[in-house]
Amino acid sequence: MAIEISVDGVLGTIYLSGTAGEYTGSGTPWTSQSTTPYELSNNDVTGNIWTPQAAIAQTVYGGGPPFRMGQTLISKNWANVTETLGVQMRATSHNSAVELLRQLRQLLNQSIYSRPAQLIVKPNGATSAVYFDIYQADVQELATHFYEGTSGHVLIRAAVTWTRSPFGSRLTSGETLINAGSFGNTGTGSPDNVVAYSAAAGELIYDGQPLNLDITFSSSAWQYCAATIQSMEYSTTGNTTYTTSSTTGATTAIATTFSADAATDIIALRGRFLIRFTSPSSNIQVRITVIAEASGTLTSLYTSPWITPDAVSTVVDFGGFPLDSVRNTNITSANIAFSLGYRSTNGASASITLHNTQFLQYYTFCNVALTGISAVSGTTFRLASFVERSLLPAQPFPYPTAFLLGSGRAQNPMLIRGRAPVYIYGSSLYLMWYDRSGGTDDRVHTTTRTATVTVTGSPLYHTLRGAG
Amino acid sequence: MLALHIFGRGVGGIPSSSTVTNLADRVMDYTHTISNAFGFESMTCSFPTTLDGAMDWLGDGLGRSVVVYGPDAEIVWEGFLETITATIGGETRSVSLRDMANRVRVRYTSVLGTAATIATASDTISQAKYGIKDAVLTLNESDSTEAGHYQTTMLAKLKNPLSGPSATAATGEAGAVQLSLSFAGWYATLDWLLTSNTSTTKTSTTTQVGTLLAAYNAVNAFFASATNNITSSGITAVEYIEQDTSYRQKIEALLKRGNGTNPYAWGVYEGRTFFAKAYAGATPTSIDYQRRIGEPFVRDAAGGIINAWNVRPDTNYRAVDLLDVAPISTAQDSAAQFYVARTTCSINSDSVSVTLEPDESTDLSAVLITKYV
Repeated sequence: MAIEISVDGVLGTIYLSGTAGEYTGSGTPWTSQSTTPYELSNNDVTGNIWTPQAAIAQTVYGGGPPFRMGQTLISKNWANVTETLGVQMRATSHNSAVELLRQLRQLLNQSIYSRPAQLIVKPNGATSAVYFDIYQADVQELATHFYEGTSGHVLIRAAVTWTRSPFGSRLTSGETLINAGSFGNTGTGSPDNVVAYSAAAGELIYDGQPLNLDITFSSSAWQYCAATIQSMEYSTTGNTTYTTSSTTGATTAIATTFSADAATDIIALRGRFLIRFTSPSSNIQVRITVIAEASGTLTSLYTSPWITPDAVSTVVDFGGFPLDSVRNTNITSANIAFSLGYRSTNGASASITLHNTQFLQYYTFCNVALTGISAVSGTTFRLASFVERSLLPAQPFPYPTAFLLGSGRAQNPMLIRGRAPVYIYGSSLYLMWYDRSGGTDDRVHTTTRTATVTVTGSPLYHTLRGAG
Repeated sequence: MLALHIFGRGVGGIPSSSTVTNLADRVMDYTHTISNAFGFESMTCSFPTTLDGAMDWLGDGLGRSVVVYGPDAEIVWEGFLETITATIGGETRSVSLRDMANRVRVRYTSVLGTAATIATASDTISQAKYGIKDAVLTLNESDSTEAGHYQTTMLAKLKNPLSGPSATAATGEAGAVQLSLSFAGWYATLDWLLTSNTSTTKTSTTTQVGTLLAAYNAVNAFFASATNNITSSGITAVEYIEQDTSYRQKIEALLKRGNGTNPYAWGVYEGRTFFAKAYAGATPTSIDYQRRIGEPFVRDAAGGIINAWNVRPDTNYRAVDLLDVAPISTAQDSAAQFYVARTTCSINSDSVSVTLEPDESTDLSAVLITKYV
């Protein structure tokens, strides 16, 4: 089966998967597959025989003999792929053949001072091409296959060893997974703060594929939390005022449970409580203790640090915690609950009012904040994890970036803490955001705010794309 | 996995909110230590770079702050850049704040042995850049004029960061440019300033710690002002401080007394906040971490997996498979468990590991938990 393979760079496009082309020293025959003087490792019977090598997962396993049977997969990721393919090039003179060789070397080595060349692979009959970044390549002609026939026709065969991105992607843009979705800054009602991703293409839909988020808030905002979640549960149980003068603290069990059913099966899920408070006094601190059920006497699964809420109506993020205790039980349902701890920092009466609780079973969670400038509204907040630029492969960035998008330009870089959202099959996007309070860094949470969000994802492919 | 956010120096060395870079995309190996009498203690990371990149760091990197975030947006480690080492071809360049001093005092003795001192001399440019860092020098058989000359000379030498001992020049085969950054926890800066107090009044030890931190912040505003994380000790000590004592020395002298019943654990942690409380070894039956020998990670008491970079000292660790026979309920350490005084987390391309060390007073071996590729 013939395969269309080309490399594209600043110097133009070269088709490598030709059949009978020959370079006469003029023109640019390499820009078309039917005329290109380049051919892949050729077999007279089978024709072109190269296919991209799939990236090998770099895994970290733990445990094992002699202490236990088997090992546990801890983490998995992929490094660049280095592969060698044979390329032959035909010309009507020695100098023209060497020109082909030189051009190949130039095109494949642009990363350092320009941008990576693109490897484009599209088998005959395939709907779509797949695009890889080529970071560096060595091209070595083979002396045994440097043939100069008496007719003057020259054939050079060379071994091309390139290092490229582990996965292929689409070109220019990803696929839309949330199209101008409406979010409310609350866990109840419509819209609320969760929108499901559409089903995505690509081969890493269970490992995580990068996402780009464009968020426009209805009013001023300066900090937001974004998470890829399995579920969000909302409750107003316990919404009352808590008062204490104790510097050691008081505790009240909140009489409701939250489902951790999904976590009994999905080992990547973690739990997180975000609790909205109003009217916090300046000397109050709060924390939570997560327990397995509504009873307050069972072993705690997690105790958060003492947190000083901003002196405004705000949502306190109590941090993520593992849900491993609900796994490996052969039981598919699990509930958790929490107790609210509250203390005075100075021995004077301190109080705070609980408004509502949101419990997340999540895959990834991040907090993104503006620094140094006032909150803005009507401006797009962008969180970018992959390339979306004209004629460039939609490859993941080394790490996500967040910034304000103004006048079509990136402005005001934002600080990302945690892991940016990724696409996981069957998951949703959770969003919660803060306004500023005057000129301070207080995080005001207003439930009536709305936002419009567009999310694109980059499907990733080990080798071929087909119609994906 | 981890994001290493580097922030610029503000005026006086105070960390600013201006992000310089995130090293997450280039770090090849990472190690941090956290201890029960320091808090965030040390962190090193290394990565390949270009010659220009190395020069950028060597020229202006010292004093930058780092906050290491985990994938849950939690703070894993926090500190400031103390030493930069660049390997460029066969040569090594190293600059460090460790031996720098930009406020110098000289104590001298006359030929008759009479002790005296002269006023401090400062380099305000260095102080504006890094904060104030004291040094006391001595000179024998001299007078105030000679002491002044000596002070000026030494200030000129010490006011700027100095090359570290690993700086070398050599011929031979060139290699990649490799940069190694060594960070210290903010607690280390408590050694930067010297203080004294002639008061013989006895005051609560923890109240004195709060007072000392406030006095320190008045000069180098490195720490959070909150003191409500310093649990009252309930015991008193004299306020007297010998001259030329560092803030760290006095704070440790106070906190080492514990609360009169149990030792204290203390340190500077998230948000550059000072914490101090009775050590976890006081309640050894309250297990914080547990592990089965066949597993590559530490779990909390409820069985939840704790990532290696989130394992903290001042905790009680138990190896579940080891069954203590009639352990003493109040014993900090036993065959199956020990009090963790320091943790070291190391991450590279081959492994993720955490080492839990007991108190130095014991001879129990540290527990190394490593996950290999």
